Amino acid sequence: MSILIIGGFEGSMFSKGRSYRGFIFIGPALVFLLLIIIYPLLTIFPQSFQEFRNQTFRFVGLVQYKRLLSDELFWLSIRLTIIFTVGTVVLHQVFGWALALLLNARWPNIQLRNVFRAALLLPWIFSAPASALLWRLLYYSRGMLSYISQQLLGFRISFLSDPNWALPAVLVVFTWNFYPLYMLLILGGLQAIPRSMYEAAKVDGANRVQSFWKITLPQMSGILMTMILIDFITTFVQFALVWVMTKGGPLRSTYLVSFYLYEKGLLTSKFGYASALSVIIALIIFVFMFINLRYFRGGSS
Amino acid sequence: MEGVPKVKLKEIRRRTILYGVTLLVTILCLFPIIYAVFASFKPNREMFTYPPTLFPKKWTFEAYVYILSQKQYLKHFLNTWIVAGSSTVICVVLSSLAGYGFSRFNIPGKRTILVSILAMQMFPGTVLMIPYFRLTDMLKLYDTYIILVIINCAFVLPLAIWLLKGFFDSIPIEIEESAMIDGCSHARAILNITVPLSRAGVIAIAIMTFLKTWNEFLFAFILTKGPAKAPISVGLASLFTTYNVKLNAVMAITVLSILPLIFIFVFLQRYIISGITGGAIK
Repeated sequence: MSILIIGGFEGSMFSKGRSYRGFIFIGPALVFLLLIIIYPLLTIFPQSFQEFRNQTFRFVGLVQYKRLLSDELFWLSIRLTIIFTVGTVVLHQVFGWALALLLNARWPNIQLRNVFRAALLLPWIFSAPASALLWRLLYYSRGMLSYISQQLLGFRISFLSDPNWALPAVLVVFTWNFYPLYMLLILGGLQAIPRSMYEAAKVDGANRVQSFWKITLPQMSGILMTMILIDFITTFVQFALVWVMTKGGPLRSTYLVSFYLYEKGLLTSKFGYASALSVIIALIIFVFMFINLRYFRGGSS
Repeated sequence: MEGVPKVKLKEIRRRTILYGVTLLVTILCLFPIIYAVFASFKPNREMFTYPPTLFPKKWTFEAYVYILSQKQYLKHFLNTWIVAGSSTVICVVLSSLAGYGFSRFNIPGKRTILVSILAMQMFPGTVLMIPYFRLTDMLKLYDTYIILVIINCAFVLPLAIWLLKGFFDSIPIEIEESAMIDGCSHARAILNITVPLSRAGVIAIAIMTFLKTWNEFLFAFILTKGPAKAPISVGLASLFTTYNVKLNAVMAITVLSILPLIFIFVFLQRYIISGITGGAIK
C-alpha cells in the first residue's frame, strides 16, 4: 500500500526524469552566486570600453586596451608576476613533494606521523598579514635572518629594503604560507596509489627510484597538473601577502599585476582602464582554467 | 641466526633517520612561529638586542597586557567574530540546500551548472576588485559588515556546494525513502535522517568558511575604513609598517589572532583535512 503511494507520488521526487523541484533547493545558492560573482564579473567587460571621467562613463572603444599594452608599468608588473608565480609553483612542488614523501614513508607509528603532519600544516592557517608579521621579525635589521646572513656572508642583508632581495624574500614567505596545502594534496594522492603496485614492481626487481618514475609520477600526473594550474591561477593574482610586506617596493621590485590593478582602479579611480586590465587578467585565468577543466578534471567528476 | 639482528639494526637506523629528519624539518618550518611566540613574552627592550636571542631573558606578559588594553584591537577581534560567524552560518545553510538539491534531483542542465560552479571555485577574487568597490559604493555598503559577509560567502560557496554534494551522494536515497515509507514526510526524513548523517560534511564546510573568512584580507582592506568594521587581518596589516610600535606587542597580537584557529585546528583537524583533499581532487 505505502509502496504504491511512494511509487505514484513521493517517488517522483527522486525520479530519473527531469525535475524542476530541485531548484527549490539549489535556487538560493544559484541566485546568490549569480548576483555576487557572475554579475560583477560581467560588468568589467562593458566598462573596459568606457573611460571614467568626471563621475561618468564615456565610450572610447579599444583605446584603453591600446594604452594598457603600451604601458611600461603594465609589462613590468606582468614580468614580475610571472617570475613570482613560476618561483612559487616550483617551490611549492619541491617542498610539497619532499614533505609528502617523508610523511608517506613507512612510519612504524601512525599516531606520531599524524602529529608531524599536523605540525607541518600549521603555517597554512596563518593569514597573510599574520605571516608577514612573523617574518618581519626574522627579516628586520636586528632580526634572526639578518644576523645569520652576517655570520655566513659577512654582511647584513636588508631583505625587504634591498631591491635585489625583496622579491626572493616575499617568495620565501609566500612559499612558507602555502606549502602545507600542496604537501597535503600530494600526500593524499600518494596514499591513493595501491601498495600492491609497488610490491609488484619490487618483485620485478625495480628499485625505489625506478618505481618513483614508473609508478608514482604517472599515477600522480592528473593531480599534479591540477595542482600546478590552480597554484598558477591563485598566485598570478595574489595580493595580500606581498602588499602587506612591500606594497610593491622597494623601487617597484615586487610590483605585481594585482598592485597595478589596485593603483589604477582604486587609488586613481580609473575604473574603465582598470576594467580593461581586469579583462586581460581574467582571460589569462580562463585559459588556464579551461585547460584544467577540459583535460584534467572533466572525466573524473 | 646472525641475520635477524642485522635486519633489526638496519630498521632501527632507518627509523632514527626518518624521525630525525622529520623532526629537524618540522622545527625549521615552524621556526618563525616558535620565534614569534617567545618574542611575545619578552620585554620590549629585549626585542632589539643584537645578536638576537630566541628565549626571553625575562619572561613577561607586558605585551599581552598592553595589546589587550588597546580598545581598537578588541574591536577588530569583535568585527572578525561577527563577519566570520555570520558568513559561516549563511554559507552552511545555502550550501547544504544546494548540495542536497544537486545530489538528489535530476535538475535540467545539472552538469553545466555544476561545472560552472567548479569554475567559480577556481576563479580568484582579485579580478572582481573593481566591480566590488564600485557596487559597494553605489549600494552605500562601504564599511559595513554586510558586504564583507556577502563577499566571503560567495567565495566559499562553490567549494562548499561541491563538497556537500559529494557528501550527500554517499548517503543512499533508500534510507530517506524507507523513512518516508514509514510515514515520515520528506522534510522530516531530511531533518531526522539525512541531516544527522551529513554532520561531518557540514562541520567541514563550517570550519573551512570560518578559517577563510577569519583570514580574508583583500576585500576587508578595500571595503572598510578604520577599526569600526575592519577585521583583525586589516588591523595586523596596519602594524607592519608602523616602526614606532612595540614589537613585542605586535607579536602578541599576531599570536592572539591565530589562537581561535589553533583551537579549531587541534580539535577538529580531521574535518579540515577531509575538506581540503576532498575539495581539490573532486
